Amino acid sequence: MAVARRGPRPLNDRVRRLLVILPWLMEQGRASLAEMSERFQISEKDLIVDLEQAATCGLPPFVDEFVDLFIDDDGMVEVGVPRFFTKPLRLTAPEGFDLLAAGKAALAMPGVEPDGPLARALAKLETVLGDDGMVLDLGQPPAAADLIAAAERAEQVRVLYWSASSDEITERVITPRTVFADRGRWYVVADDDRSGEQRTFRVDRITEWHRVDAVTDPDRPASRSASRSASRLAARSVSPPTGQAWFDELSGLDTVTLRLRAGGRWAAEQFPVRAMRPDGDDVVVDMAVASAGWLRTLLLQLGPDADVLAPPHVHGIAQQAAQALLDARYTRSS
Amino acid sequence: MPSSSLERVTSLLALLLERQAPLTLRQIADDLATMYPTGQAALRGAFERDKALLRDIGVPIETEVLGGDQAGETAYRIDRDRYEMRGLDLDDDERRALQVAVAATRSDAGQEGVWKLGGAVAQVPVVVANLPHLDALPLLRTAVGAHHSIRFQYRATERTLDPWGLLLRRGFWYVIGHDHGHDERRTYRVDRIDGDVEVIDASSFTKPADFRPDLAFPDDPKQLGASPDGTPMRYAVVAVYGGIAEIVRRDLGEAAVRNVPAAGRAGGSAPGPALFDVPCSNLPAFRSWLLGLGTHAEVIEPADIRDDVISWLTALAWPAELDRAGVPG
Repeated sequence: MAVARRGPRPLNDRVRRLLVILPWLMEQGRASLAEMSERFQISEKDLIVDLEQAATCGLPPFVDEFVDLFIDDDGMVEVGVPRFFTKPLRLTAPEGFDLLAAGKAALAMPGVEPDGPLARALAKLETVLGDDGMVLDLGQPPAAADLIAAAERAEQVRVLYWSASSDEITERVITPRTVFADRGRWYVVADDDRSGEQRTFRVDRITEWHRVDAVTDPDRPASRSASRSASRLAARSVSPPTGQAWFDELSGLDTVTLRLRAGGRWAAEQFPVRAMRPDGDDVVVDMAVASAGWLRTLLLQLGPDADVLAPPHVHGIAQQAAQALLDARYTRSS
Repeated sequence: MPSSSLERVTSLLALLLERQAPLTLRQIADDLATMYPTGQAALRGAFERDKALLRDIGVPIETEVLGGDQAGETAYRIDRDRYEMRGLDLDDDERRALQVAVAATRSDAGQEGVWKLGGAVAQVPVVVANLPHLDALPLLRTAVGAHHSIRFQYRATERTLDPWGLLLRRGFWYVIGHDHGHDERRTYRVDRIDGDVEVIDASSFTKPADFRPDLAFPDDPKQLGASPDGTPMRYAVVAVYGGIAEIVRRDLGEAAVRNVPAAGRAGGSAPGPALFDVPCSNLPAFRSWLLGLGTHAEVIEPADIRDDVISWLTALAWPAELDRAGVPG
C-alpha cells in the first residue's frame, strides 16, 4: 500500500500525488494539512513542501495565473480562484486495470452482494474504460464464507484440520483474524488454541467447522457492538502477507535447490522461488521449504521431472516417500 | 538552476493545459522564462526529461510538426478532453465499495485510481486477495476492450491473437481468443508470454457475443483434455483412506462419491476407504492431485492410469535401476 518512503521522494511520485491532491483541494475550497496528510498518505512536512512549490508554479510574469493557494498558521490550506488543475487526470491503463481487477476480485469473494454498490461502480467504470470481458475466479472452498463471518465477528470456530506437514487430522479451536486468497488457494490466519500461536491454515484442508457456542466460550464478546469493534481491531492488527513476501516471512526456513526439467517448471510458477537460473534446457531453483511434509509431497508430484541438488540430507526424501507410498498402496498387482 | 523540478514540471503542465494551441520548445522556454536553462542543449535535455516524466504518469502530450512560418518545427500540446477524467460520477456508496475493494487487493495503482475518483484510503478488510501482477495485463485489457489483435512470443513461437477475454483462475492469468496461426480458439498463460505484447492498432475483430472467459476451460485442471465434441472425459476410481476423504468429498462434490462408509471418520472400528470417481483426462494434473494426498489415496482403475502412477513412483523409489542420468549422490 502507499506507505511513506524513507529517503528522497521520486519526482514522478510527487507530481502524480500533487495532481490528485490539487483537484480535490480545489473542490473543497479549504482543508487542513492533517486531513490531507491522512487522506493522501503523505507526511505534513512533504505536503507543505509540495503545496508551496505548486503555489509558485504557473505562468510568469502574470501573477493572476499562479496556482492560488495559501497555507495559514493553523495548518489550514485555502484555495483562491481554482485554475489549471481543477479536474483529475484521466485514469492510466494500469490504474484502470487495477480498479476493475480489485472490484471484480472483491465481487468474487464469499458473501458479497452481487448487485450492490460495488457492482454499480464496476458497471460505471466499464462504461468509461471499455467492457473487457474480464473474469476473476478466486474459487470458494466451502468453509470460506463461514470463516470470514467468524473473522468479522471475532468468533471462535471449532475445526478439524488436516495438517499435511504432520499428516494428522487435529481438532482445534481457532479465532479467525483474516482470510486471504493467494495463488489460487484460500488461507485463514487465526489464533490457534492448540499451539497458543497465530497460525495460517489452508481453508480447503479444514474438513469440519462449527461456531463455538457462546455459552461455552467465556472470551467471546457479549454484545454485537462489542464484537463489531473487536473485528475492526482484528483487521488492523493482522495483515495477511502479500505474494512473495509470504514465504520470505516464514522465519528460519531451509532452502532446497532443485533442477527442474520442462515437465516440472510448474513448481517454480506455483511456489515462490528465492533464486532461479537456467541450466541448459532445465532451470535450477532455490525454494523455501515450508515444511518437510510440503517438500515430500512436492517431490512426489515432480517425480522424474526434478532432481534434488542440495542440501545432501534431502536426497533420500523423494525416494523414501515413493517407497512408502508403493508399500502402503500398490503392493498388489493391478 | 533557478527553480526546482516540481515547479518546472507543474508549470509546463499548466502552460500546455492553458494554451490549447501547439507550442514549440522555443515558445515554451519563452513562456516559462526563468525556469528552463538557456543553453540549447541543456534546454532540450531538461524539457525531454520533463516531458518523459509527465507521459510516465499518464499525461497525454501530443506532438505535431508545424508548417508555414515554422515549417519543420515540432510543437507540443495537451488535449484537455484526453487529459481530464470525465463521465465517471460515482455515488458515495459506490466510491466506498471500490475503495474497500482496492484495499482488499492492496493495489498501489488502484489506490491512485481511487484518489482520482475522489476517494480516500480504506482500511485493509478482513478478506484479502493477493492478485498476481503482470506488466502486460493493462495493455491486454485495453486490447480486449478496443478489439485490437495482439502479437507476442510464446514458447519460442510468434502468435497473433484476437483477444476475447482475460481470466484469473487458480492464481494464474489467462488470455483467451482466436489464434490466427492455428485458426481456432486458444488459451495462453499471461505469465508465460516472453517479452512485450504488441498491439496491432490497425486491426479489428468481432468477439462472439456469447463468449465467456470463465467457461472457456474447466476450472478443474484434471478435466482438461476432454472436449464436448471430441475426446470424452475419463474417470479413475480412487480410494481415499481416513478423514482426508471428507476433504476430497468437499473438493470433488457429492456426484463424485461412490461409496462412503456410514461409520464416518475417526474412531475405533477402522472404516474402509471411500471411493470416488475422479476426472483424469489430464493425466499430469490427476497424478499431481493424487500424490498430493500422499498415502491416503490409491488409484484403483483403470489399469493404465494405475500403471502410470506405479511406474512414476518406481522411478522415484529406485532411480538407479532405471539408470537415470543426472541424479547426484
